[in-house]
Amino acid sequence: METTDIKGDGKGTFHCEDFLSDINFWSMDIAEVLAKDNKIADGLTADHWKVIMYVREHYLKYERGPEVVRVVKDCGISLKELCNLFPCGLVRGAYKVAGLPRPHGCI
Amino acid sequence: MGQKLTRQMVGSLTACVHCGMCTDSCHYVLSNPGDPTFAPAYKADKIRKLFKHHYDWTGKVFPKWVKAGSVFTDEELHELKDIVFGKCTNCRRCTVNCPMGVDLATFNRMARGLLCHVGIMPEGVEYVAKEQWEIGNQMGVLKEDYIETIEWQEEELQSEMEDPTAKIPIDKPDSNIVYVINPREIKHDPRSILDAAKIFYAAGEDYTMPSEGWDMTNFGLFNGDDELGGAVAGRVYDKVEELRGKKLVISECGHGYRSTRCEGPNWAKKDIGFEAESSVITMLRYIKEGKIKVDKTKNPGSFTFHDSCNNARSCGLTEEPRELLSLVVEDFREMYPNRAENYCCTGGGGAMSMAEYRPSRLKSAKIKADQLSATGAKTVVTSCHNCVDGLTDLIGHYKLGMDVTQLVNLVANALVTDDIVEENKNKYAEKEEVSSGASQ
Repeated sequence: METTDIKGDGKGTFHCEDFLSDINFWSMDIAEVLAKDNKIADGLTADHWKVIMYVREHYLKYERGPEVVRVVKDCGISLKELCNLFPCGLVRGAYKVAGLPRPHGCI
Repeated sequence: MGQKLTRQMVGSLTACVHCGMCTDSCHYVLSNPGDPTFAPAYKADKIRKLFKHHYDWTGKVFPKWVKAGSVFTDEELHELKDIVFGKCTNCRRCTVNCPMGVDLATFNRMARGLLCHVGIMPEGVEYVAKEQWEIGNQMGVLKEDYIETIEWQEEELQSEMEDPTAKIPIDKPDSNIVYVINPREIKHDPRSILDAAKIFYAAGEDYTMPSEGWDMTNFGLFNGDDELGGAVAGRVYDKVEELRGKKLVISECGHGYRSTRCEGPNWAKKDIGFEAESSVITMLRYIKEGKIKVDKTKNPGSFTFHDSCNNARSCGLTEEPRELLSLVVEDFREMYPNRAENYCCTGGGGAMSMAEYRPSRLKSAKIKADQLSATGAKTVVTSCHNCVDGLTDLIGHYKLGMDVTQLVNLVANALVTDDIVEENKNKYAEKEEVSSGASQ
């Protein structure tokens, strides 16, 4: 498994270069690091966090990421706003920054 | 194995003369020079030995001479799994370059099916196949979420076209077209659904989207399970028949197009009484027949086209995507080689679901990265969702700075609809005035 010592503490926090391999390794600091990797240059705003926490809670409850329709309707944002917040898209953007593992199948 | 052997497969298993022509055609070999274990003939021999051991008379009479053998231990099974899943995307580039016509992808798929039958497969492949069996689509999208997404995109269509009556009909019987999609379009990014809806709207098409049997992808192609392949394709066909649709149109997806249009009737053991075509053909026809007008200046920038393996090599869909692309962009640059000789995006054959092979896959993508760079294009266009995923991954890994898009997006962008929208604005403004006048 490709790894990066994302916390810099030598304690084996695995980052699959792509998605976090274990959702339990996530923290808000790690989210900021993942965000920089994903074209979110100016740091995470309250709007970002609303989506991130929604996506994360959905995964922890249902063991799968939410459909895009659920994200926009339940977070009260448009698809355009979602794409502006996460230029890499729902999965490569929001799922990744929320610490979800890479979904199976094509994304 | 005996149940899976066809004449075509036995021909491929016995015809190899070990000339090495396949070696230069495989992206794994080209990106791993000096490692013979990636050569198609080497990989094929790992499967061929099973055939010789169990079925071929030469394997019974001269086993050592013909290198007949089987797999007996868990280690050998997992080694075979790593070869058939991790070292081949079933792209068939070796086949089109083989003087004997050996079709490695066909018996590689057979070997995958045998391994899946005994429960040996990558975790991602098992997970997605299970979702397709049990829920009816590869991303586990529930019917209510599917319908809510379509209705949401219908609202977007109404807003864009200034027409409150614009519809994306669901389960409309007797339609000319039944339009089926990739679950990714529902789960992750519905913009391609809206793009298609805009095109259908502008063309005045009589179409519908089915409420079930809407997933045209098929993991049976990737895991070698013909029963899964038949079940998934069968659901699509059954729904088209139930709706009495005249034509099945498949959104841009390489393996989905091949599975649904070409392979599915064999897997499902069903003769289908309706036509099936790729949405690429549909969009091209609309432009040629004048049903939609496009303005290529609406898609500025430079574009190249990636032929997805299943569309191009397996189904011959090479000219229509190019013709369509040339109508909707000004700066189209071919990559080389192209058409049936194009290199795999490295994401095919279910590879995007196999995280354990990602480092090897991305290493093998070097040849594709070089091919993309050489075009100097800003955007690569493809007609396959798996290719979008595979190309996006390798573009990020090799830092090429390119975008990836599909033809439906470019056609929708290029649509000339000002006159339609203006007419709608006037029509519905008049109606509103009349109804507010009547209510006073």
